[in-house]
Amino acid sequence: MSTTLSRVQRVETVTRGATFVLRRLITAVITLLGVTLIVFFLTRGVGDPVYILQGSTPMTPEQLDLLRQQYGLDRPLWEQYLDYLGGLVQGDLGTSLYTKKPVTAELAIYFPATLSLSVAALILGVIITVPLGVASAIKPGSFWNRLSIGFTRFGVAMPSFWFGLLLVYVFVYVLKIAPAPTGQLPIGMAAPPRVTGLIPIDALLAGEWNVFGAAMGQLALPVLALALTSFPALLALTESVTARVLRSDYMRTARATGLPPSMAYGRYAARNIASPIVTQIAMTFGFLLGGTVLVEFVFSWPGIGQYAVLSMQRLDFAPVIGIALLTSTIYLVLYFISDLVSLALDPRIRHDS
Amino acid sequence: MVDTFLAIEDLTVASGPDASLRTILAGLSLQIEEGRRIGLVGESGSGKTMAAGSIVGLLPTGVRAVDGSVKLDGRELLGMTEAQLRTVRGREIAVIYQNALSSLNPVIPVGRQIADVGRVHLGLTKAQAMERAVQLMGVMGIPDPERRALDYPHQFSGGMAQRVSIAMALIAHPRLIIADEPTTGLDATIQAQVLETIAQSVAETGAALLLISHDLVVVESMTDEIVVLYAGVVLEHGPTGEVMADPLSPYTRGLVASVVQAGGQVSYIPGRIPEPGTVPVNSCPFAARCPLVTARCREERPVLRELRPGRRVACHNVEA
Amino acid sequence: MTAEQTLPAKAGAERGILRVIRHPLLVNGSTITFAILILLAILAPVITPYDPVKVDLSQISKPPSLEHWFGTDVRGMDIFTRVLYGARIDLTLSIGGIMIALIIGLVLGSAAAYFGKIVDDVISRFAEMLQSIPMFLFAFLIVAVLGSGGPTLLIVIALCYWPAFFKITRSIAAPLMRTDYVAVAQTAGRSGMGIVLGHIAPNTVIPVLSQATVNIGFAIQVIAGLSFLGLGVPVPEPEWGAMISVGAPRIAYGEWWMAVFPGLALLVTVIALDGMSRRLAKAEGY
Repeated sequence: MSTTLSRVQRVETVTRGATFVLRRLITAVITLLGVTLIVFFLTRGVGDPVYILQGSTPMTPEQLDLLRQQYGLDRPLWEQYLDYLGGLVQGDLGTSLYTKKPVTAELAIYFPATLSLSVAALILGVIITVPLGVASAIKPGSFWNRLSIGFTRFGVAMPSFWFGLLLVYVFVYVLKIAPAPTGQLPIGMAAPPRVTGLIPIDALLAGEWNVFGAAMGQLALPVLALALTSFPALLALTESVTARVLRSDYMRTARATGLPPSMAYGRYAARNIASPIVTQIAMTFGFLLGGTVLVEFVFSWPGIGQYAVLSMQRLDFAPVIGIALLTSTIYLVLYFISDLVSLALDPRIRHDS
Repeated sequence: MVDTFLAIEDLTVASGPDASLRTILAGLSLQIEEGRRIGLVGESGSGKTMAAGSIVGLLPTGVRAVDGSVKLDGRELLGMTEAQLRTVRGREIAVIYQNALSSLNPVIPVGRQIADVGRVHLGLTKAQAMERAVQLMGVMGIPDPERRALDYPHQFSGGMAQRVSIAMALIAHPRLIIADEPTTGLDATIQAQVLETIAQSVAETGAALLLISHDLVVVESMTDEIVVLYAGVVLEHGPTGEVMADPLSPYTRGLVASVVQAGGQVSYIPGRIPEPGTVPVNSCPFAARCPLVTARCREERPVLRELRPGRRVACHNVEA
Repeated sequence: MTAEQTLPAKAGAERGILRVIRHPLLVNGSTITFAILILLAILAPVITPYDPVKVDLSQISKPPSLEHWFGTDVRGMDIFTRVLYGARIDLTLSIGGIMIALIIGLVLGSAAAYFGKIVDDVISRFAEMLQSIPMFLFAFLIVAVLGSGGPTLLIVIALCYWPAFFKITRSIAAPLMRTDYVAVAQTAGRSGMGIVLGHIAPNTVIPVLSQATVNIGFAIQVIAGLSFLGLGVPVPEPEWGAMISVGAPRIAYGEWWMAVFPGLALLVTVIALDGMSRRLAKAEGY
């Protein structure tokens, strides 16, 4: 007797799944296009954008006119947008006024630092908040529950940049156990040969243990600052989802039918908790990649966040626009990925038409 | 003569701190024999669900059995550890709940859920348990069970989902099935089908049935013996047919009268059931709404006494 | 008809403002803290003996003492005074910005719920797009176009937070549109605007207020963050973020008080706002 899906069932499920994926993909693309439109009109359509492009260099009216021609600002707005879009698709994000280099190239240099920071923060954050959230939901009123509430209340209200400064003051200057915030590596230490661009990984690959250790040391404080301030949402979600599942009617049935705890909590509960949590983790990662601005600045971390701030301070706006677009794209991609994950983990979505 | 295998003696369930207990069930005594079908009737808030839950130790936080005993084959169930109770639940005593769709795990195929119960209690292999599950689903009247066993709960209608729950309850051959409002919320025709399925299953497996419901019509058709609960107190207890035809307790009389008659006359009992913990220990809980109430009813709680052979009533103002 | 369809919308204001005020337990630790903060902000000129922007070279970088409770900064300005004056700036800008966001969100949310279909779709998509852009980068873009300073910050906050109010208004109003309650009002001849104001709006008051309170807290963080980076309120102003940016380099010299106290003020304010928001949410049963 066969207990596997019949061919008809399999085709059905795949088709439904494919439709879902396609619809979500289209939504994501449209949203992305919308973002480019918004960014474009924000920076070109408001007032005379030549002033933005001019930045901090004072120019004569003739020079401004030349600038206008050069950037095609004398052409109709729609044409400009299409040109712009065309450029985006080819990876052209404009040129930095300050460094005179293409923005895309600059971002490629700075992005890995943000990536290391975000990935490390994601790992630490998930390791701390998910078990804490689950423990907190299992026993209301317990120590874990109160810790979780405290973490959420505090983390949400804590200004990340101030917390970063506090960490620096306490651990670098008072306790002297953390390295000075000088970026990814201590001053004077050479970076390992570039393989992935992520310094800790490259150090491991090259077998340079001391470099790896130093890199981790440099990561410690900024990751802590990011973890406290970006993870309350995941904690709250984990707690509420776990509580909801544990108190559900179907878990009551699991108890009523005498299932052993390993099965009840392992498969029956966990599978229901997993889907929303994985989705939220994906979203948090997206949030991290776009939200490191303040922490990077405080710790002199050479990532895209700091690059954005410095560019703003230099009135060099092309990089800022480029970073806004990059981070929005990443966010939407992660959102799409999290939709895929939900599709895989939750059968209810597979059967929605 | 059939044997009593489950003896409930003066079961009392309450909630809240020890200093200020709110009694939810005040002393239920019941002998359940093999194959016997018993109905537990009462309005919502009468304590009937707690009664059922306390038998297998499935009570919400803060609610517990504070007195009495529940003996399965002489073994005391109250006070057993979770691990011990797990050998009873699903195996000797199975429970069917009201809302089947929410009582089934949404992310696991239904056949698997039924099979898991079989695996846990009968030591079957995955394949054997699945086979048994599919078989049971067929017996329950679920069309195309092989295919449906791989479906998820949300792909079933309320009535079909309830049949899945019944299959889950039956797979380990329990001796007692507790059905807590199994058809409430279902359409009338579906209700009839589900009840039919339960009746057949119980008859074929020889299991005893404890049917809990507020609906007298449902209980009348499905049970041999009926216990009438009001605010945690048993007011009447006797053979179903006799009680329904000739109710002795004024409460039961009110209940029977409020069932819609063929002539279309509907009556109801004015007032509301009191909250747990608000009824004084020395008063009949029904005193506030009873048409036969006397001063004695408020000073002395009536004791359940056997007015006629097999007919027990708790009331000061009724005679055999 | 289900109970859900007939119950939710109680008539008029009864459900809204009066219920908030009548609630005896509305006052909790957070509300009191926030009330004190507002009071301190308002009374700042009266309570503080020093001028918040006047340079006093004789009092440079003094640690906390009896004369200067929070110490002084690199230009001799009393930090306690500046923190109190800073409360005015931060609270005004954040509350102002959120008010604007709230109005925009309420109007658009009601419109989306009332007109449905295309209007709803378009505005919702637009809100989604805005929310896909990481907040600080979005703020950067606005500052790039409009320049830094207080008024720009108001616009930044309004643009960043209107989607939140839009979503919550829409989520409450949309199901209400389908209730029999509203249908009865419509047959009784009430017009669109009348229905929105009289029947739908009161149901949105508490959730929106709860959202507004917590968002004011977030708005303050954004304002402080931008000012910290030099892109918001300019440095001589006693805005908390700006103060922290001035105090940050001094940490290496052990002069912690310049950056710590404004940050503490930020933390306390946002915690209080969050607490108030939770209390409001509980009143609605969320």
